[in-house]
Formats: sequence, C-alpha cells, structure tokens
Amino acid sequence: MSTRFANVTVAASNAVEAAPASQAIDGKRLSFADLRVDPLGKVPDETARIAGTNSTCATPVLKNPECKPPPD
Amino acid sequence: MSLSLPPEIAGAVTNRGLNLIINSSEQCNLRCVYCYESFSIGHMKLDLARGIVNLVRKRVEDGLEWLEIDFFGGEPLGAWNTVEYVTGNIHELCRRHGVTLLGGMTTNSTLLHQGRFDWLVKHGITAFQVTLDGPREIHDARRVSLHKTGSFDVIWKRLAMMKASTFPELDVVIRVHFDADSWPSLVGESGFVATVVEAFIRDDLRFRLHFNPVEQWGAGSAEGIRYFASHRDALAAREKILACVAQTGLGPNQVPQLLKGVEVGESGHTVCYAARANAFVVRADGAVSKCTVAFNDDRNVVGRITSEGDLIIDHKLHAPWMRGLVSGDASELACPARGHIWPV
Repeated sequence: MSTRFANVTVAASNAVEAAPASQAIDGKRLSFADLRVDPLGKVPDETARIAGTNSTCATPVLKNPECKPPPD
Repeated sequence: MSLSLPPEIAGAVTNRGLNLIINSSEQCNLRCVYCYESFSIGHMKLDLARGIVNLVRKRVEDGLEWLEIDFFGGEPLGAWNTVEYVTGNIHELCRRHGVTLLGGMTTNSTLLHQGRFDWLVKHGITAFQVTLDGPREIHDARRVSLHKTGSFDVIWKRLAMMKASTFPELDVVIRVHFDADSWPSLVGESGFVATVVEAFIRDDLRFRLHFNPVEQWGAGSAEGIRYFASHRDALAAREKILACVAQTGLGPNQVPQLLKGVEVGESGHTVCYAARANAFVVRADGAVSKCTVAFNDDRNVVGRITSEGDLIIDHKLHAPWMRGLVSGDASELACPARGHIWPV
C-alpha cells in the first residue's frame, strides 16, 4: 500500500515557498497558497471548491488519540 | 476542471467543517507525575470565550455544515463557567442554523459531577476521554492531586456514573496508560484490563478502550515511573496488552487498536488535527496553536483569536504544520510536529 497521497515531497524548512499556487487547480495537488486561511479560518474559495463535497466529517480528536510526543 | 482530493485531504481543507480545540483552562487539579504541561496559563477569560462564540456565529451564518469542538487543557472543567458559556451558546447557534455539532472533552473527570455531565451531553458534548493508569495502587502513585492524594476512586465513580446514564449518543474512551513497571498489572485473567472490560466495556458500545505508553513528555517529576528503554519496547508491551484484550472477546469497534494500531482513514492514512487547515487549538490566553502536546514551543503558536471572533493567523507559521497536505507524505500528515519541532 502506498504511504503517500502524491508523488511529491517538500522539506519543512522551505515548504512555504516551495509549491507554486497554480498546481491544485491544474489538477495535481494543493499548494501552500491554497491553504492560507482568512480571519474566519477559511481557505480560499477556489480551494474549497476543489475540496468540494469529497470531504468527510472531521476526525474527532477523541477518536484519534494516537497523537503522542516525540520518541525518547 | 476538477480535482478529486482523497477524502482525508478534502476533509482537512474544506470550509464545510471547522474543528476548534478549546483550552478552557490550562490549570489542573491533578499533577500527574509524567505530565508535559507547565500550568503557566490559567483559566480562559470571558472576552476570549466571547471571541470563540463570535467566530462560530460568523461561520454558521456563512454556511458551515459541521462544527467539532473539543475541550482540552489543563483540566477543562476547572473553568466550568467558560465551558458552560461556550457550549451553551455554540449549541444554540448550531441548532438554529442546522449545523451538526460534534462535541467532546478530554478530562480527568474528577470535576465531572452528575449535573455537569447531564448538561454537557444534552448540549452536544457527548464524547469524553478519561484516563486510568492501572489498578488503584498504581494509578494513585501517578495521577495525584495537588495535595498528593490519589484520584482512582473518584474517576472510577465518574465512569460508573457515565455507564449508568441512558444517553445513547455517549462516546467514552477510557485511555489506559502504562509504563515499564505497570504494564504487567494490566494483563492476565485477573488483570486490570479484564476488570475494566467487565465494569464498563462489555456489551456497551458507548465505551471504548485505548492504550498508551507513558513516555518522557517533559515537565513532570516522573517520580515512581520507569520508562520503557525504547519506543519499540513500549509498543511490544502494548501488543501483549492488546493480545490480552483480544482474549476477552472484544473487537476493533471497541478497541480500535486491535485493527492496526492507529486509526486509518478511507484512503489508508491518518491526518492529525494539527495537520489540518481547518483545525485550531485556542489556548486559554487566546493564542492559536496546532498541536495539543507541544504547548511549550513557540513554533506551536501560529496566531491568536480576538474577542470579535477573528483568527489572526501568520501563514508562514501555520504552513509548516500543513505541509503534509501539500506533500502527501503520510508521516507529515500523521504527526506534523515531527520534522518541524521534534526530530523525525
């Protein structure tokens, strides 16, 4: 099974500048510009359109309790 | 032109939903010996609680379809007035606008009196995560009050109260902590797991079990704790515990870790709330964070909320948390703190 959604890796250190904004609407993947939220916590309308109805309800925190601190 | 995002990614960026994790208080009436929190911030002030309600008001009037609020802390019930104010207002807003409300609380439960519990469930806070550290003598050495007294009996009593309720929508996760010394007490025919299963879990699908090793999380004294020598050792112990659970006849519907060890989404991946574009932690002082573990790291502060209900987010600080949405990397989606503020 693949462990990735897309065949792309972006290093965290330069991630903000790495991805061109147009790729999501070109049908490839999201960019950081697509994820910029406004004061209501909303992504741009175009990103929301891409997400469309293909979005499941949020995964509740309490149903995802695997989150844990770094390994010792 | 269309792009079909995997459901997990779409759910993490959509404006149809919003997840707010609310630290109503960052004080706690317990001092668990391994706790990672500093308790340097107190209760949330009313103007910030108003800010949360104002944000929700704007969003529900803007077509929000579902809202998930999760109270966290500190001990969230330490600021009951804030919990009551936020929950009551948000519940009414969601009801009036037909918005699905998913409400939860991670609580030590010691302050969860019957009246509060009933009120919370009736106002949409239906999911609770409560932690036990093993049988009484072990639990009480680890999860101690400010006055150094144990907390096992009162927590057990709260769980029994929940169990006795008739709320069908109730969803309780009993989280069981273990360390290198305590885990053997969990297993076996008369072990603690068997006790908990018979007391709460069996034949009641409202209750689930989750097991987590205690690790070196930071701020606590760790008095009386013997950590596992490695994370691998901790996982090996958990496998033995899960094998014991399986022998009780429970399945993944009540012990999801029996399935794969982590919750897996529709496309075979896990997306942490910290990796989502539409999930925010509102701290008791109004700071906005992403992760509920790395509270003492400045990189976990990406903005703030105003009393008017505006989220002032610094995109350059927010973006690294969301890099998994761009890269598609499963580990970056599962835990964006790793590789950003913690080692990979």
